[in-house]
Amino acid sequence: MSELKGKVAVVTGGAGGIGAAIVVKLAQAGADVVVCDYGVPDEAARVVEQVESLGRRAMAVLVDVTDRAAVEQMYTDIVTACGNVDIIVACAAVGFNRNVIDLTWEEAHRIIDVCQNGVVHTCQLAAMRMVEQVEAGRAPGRVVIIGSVHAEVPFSGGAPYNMAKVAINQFCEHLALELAPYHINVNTINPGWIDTPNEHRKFSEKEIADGASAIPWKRLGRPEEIAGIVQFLVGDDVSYMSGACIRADGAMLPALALHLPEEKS
Amino acid sequence: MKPQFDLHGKVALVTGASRGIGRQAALTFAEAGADVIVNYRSHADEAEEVAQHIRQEGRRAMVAQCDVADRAGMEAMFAKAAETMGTVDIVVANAAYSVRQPLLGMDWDGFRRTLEVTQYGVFHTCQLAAQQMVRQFHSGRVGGKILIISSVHAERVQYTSAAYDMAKRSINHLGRTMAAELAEYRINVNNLQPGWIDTPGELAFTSREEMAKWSQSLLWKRLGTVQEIASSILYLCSSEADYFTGATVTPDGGYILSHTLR
Repeated sequence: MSELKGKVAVVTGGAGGIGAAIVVKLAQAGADVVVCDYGVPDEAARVVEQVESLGRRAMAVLVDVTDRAAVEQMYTDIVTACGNVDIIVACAAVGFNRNVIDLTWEEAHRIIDVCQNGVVHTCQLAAMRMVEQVEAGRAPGRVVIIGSVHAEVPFSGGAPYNMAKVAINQFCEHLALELAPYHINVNTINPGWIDTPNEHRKFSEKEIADGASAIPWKRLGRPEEIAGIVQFLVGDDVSYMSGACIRADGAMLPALALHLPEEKS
Repeated sequence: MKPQFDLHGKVALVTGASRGIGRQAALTFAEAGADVIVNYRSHADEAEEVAQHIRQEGRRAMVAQCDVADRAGMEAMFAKAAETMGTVDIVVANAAYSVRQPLLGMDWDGFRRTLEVTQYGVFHTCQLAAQQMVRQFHSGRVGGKILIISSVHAERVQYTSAAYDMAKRSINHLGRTMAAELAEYRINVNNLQPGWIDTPGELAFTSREEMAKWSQSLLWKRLGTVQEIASSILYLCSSEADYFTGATVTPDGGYILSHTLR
């Protein structure tokens, strides 16, 4: 498969979890990939090695996506090194569970800054480059935003994360509208509960097993399963989809129901 | 059974209450018997005039200058409000701000300022309200109403309004999350999405002539009035609406259904 041969893809949060799976999937499809992450140089280097072992070019960029000037500099560096930015996947996110009345503003703001403003910087600054590229005759780029099922159903204890994820669902519609004249597609994936190393740090194995049994698919999603949807969205089969949102959650959302007390047997 | 819109004995705080929807909400609360904290940022004379109307109704009024984006200022304002008025029972997070610009080539300062007021400011308002109401719960005063003034923009994006629209959809989600988290304290948290309302703020974006012309594309063929929105606010903050929580109510004259391709 070399559908993406000659394309340059940038994946934020690309050093681990869903982001790393996306990097590998895009490289397998033929793209050169920039692995963008923050504070995890060893993990980023390992993912770069994986891409190179597939015969594709790769580079790691360590950047805090909340730093707008640094994100702009990143694109300048990427264009210098690789020539273009064809695919952007905004996957970087942080979060933890705490009720609103117990949050400090610093905690809430950091989550909103990374998960929302970081996505705005990542996608909007990339869009500026992509528009220039289209005007210079290059094929239109692709933007994929990784949202969350939390954007559709707000979970208790996750207010700043819920707020940020629904905001970037909205941002997707705005960016799609503005990039439509250039036929640059902008779409969102809202993953459900995905089996990443982070989840195993946050939850015990029993909590994960119990949670999985409540999902109709009877397991968590795999990072590769989200990466597959990204590959679809940036591929040739998607040419009329923009401003859309795909939820991939093992039918979690349709299964949400009133929590009734268990019957005594 | 008669509706019970009586707010005697309640203290209400309205952000952005010097003008427009916030002003009308403050006056309507006072007419219904509530004491009112009139928050404003820059229109001191108008805020004082609102307070005078409230006092003429025989209610207590407190004028509180604070930019809702100023975290420390908001903490101080809530502390002073509780100290001066005794309790805070109803909070309407109304203040908003919008810099209109396309995303391509946008100025981040304008985008950020829009978020700081319309999204972060609502977070500050609602969080501090909830903390106060939970303290009151523990000292035996059960309940409280938090109402977020959102917008139909939360559901229909408008070109050049990305930051505002994102903020509005986001605060709806804050309201739903807080409704779930605060149910045990019997605090109602709801969202109100007004449509296109005839306010001084709206005149910053649209002339009277444009309003008259463009309103013909609404199902209702006119803009909404601030009193129509204040009536919805009063209802949702009254005991008549005790079973509403995490809800989104949309008085919009059919705005959301008035769609057409541009």
